[in-house]
Amino acid sequence: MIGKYGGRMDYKIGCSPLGSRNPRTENGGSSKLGMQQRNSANLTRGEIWAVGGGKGGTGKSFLAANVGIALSNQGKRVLLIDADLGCANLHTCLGIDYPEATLSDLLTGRIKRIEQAIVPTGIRHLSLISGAQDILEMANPKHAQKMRLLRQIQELDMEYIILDLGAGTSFNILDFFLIADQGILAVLPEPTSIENVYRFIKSVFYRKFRKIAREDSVKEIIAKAMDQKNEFGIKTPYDLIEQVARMDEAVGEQLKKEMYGLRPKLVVNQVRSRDDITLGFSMRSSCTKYFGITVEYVGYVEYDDHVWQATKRRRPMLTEYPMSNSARGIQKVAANLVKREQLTIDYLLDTAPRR
Amino acid sequence: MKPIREQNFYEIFEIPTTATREQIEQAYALAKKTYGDQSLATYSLFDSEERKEIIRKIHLAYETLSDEKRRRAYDQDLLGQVVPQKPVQPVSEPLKVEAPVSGSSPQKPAVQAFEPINIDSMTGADLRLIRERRGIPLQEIASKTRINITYLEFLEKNQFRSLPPAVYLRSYVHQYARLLGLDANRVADRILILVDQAKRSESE
Repeated sequence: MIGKYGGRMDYKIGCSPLGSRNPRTENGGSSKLGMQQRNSANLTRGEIWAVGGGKGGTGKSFLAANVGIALSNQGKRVLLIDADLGCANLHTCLGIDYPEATLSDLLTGRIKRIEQAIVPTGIRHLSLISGAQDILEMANPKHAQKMRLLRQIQELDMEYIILDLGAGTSFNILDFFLIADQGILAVLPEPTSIENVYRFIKSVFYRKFRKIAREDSVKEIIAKAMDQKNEFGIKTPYDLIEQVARMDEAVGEQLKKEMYGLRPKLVVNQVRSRDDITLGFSMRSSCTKYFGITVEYVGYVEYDDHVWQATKRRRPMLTEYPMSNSARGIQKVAANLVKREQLTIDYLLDTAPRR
Repeated sequence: MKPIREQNFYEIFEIPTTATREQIEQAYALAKKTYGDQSLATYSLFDSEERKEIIRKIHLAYETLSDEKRRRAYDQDLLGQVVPQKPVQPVSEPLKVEAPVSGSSPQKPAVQAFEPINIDSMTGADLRLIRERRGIPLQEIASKTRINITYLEFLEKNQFRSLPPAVYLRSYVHQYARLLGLDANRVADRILILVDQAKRSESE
């Protein structure tokens, strides 16, 4: 409801025993993976956040790097993972050279443990695992490799692990998004980016649904639903659930529950006007009315010359220009994600970038 | 969840029925932007006919809710009677007649001695009370509505933080209240306010 979005704190951040961790993984994160190991080790670990959004160039790496820095500035132990397999360049955003050990080495077996790929970034409390680069087959790891990687990520002893996902809606990207406790969508106030975010949301749901469905007939419907002109007239995840429920009530109920669990967070990047800020509220409203799902609008980042100035120098924006408008936007996004809050519509009355 | 065409004016604006004039103005401005011709947020989701229809409804909603007299009439029409005035027959079980209140006639049905419950101040526990007065087992509500009984139990125990998001919860409460013969929209609004308050207090 409008004006009443603030204030949700579902569980403590980064301090729960792993055996009992994530009673409600917000993003439907797969708590089964690695559960056995975590229980036995009785380690503590924090949250996994994944930054996606479908389209390239929307600022996913920028967002991941700078939100990571914002958290590390507060003394949190943060690990950035460049999960853009094939086109990794998060290290460039942080101003460091391509590390010797990367995810490629883990996937090819040159190193055995993911910890061996962790490198310092020069920023206190912030470390990095770089992605695979220039090895074509790394962009599409085998299922077993991927599962091993996901399991090792879940076992890392960090307060926050931020995954920078690549562009597109491949299964690998969707699976990384789904493992996260919070899935963050970076969108630009441009038609192509918005369309891709909607497509991404839909793909995430259908990927999740496919994992639940066991019957071939249900799987077939889910696959067909991705085609907007499908024979069943299914346009939204909600239509799909209705159709599935008619075939198999129990599966329909289960899909509905999965819908509750996924609450993607929206960040509008490169905002130039008040209308651009409003776009986040409009997208949130349309997602509820069209998809029947809850999207949370956690903040926006203003278009700012400081960003490209920092990028050109291969330096992180938040370190170079901590007092800039875009830095304030990043800090607000990070704070909202940590506190499980989002922007309220009355936010429009008080703050807006100058035209 | 109700399709947008079946939503009432408050649902269209995503505001509570207790919304202030300022909230209505804000919601109207946002709705116009969201579903207007130039909206980037909705052109790929709704076709132009659908958007025209939504905009028509948005204007109508604003005209109604921004005019005090029209809003009162709409509310009365939408929200109807506050308190169930007479006992409603149970759906399948005989009405449980409680011990007669001291001094009352033994022929008088016990339900008439019940204190009326105001929907505007009711809680989840009141829903349980009304259900028990009607003699309807919770399991029956669960099977008729196909709502997970655990959610119904949470609702009746005022464990609002364990309930699903508002977009689904509204429908759940609506169905439940309708089976009890209550003004379903009003009950849903009330419960959603309580849920919202519970979530707010949790974060503070």
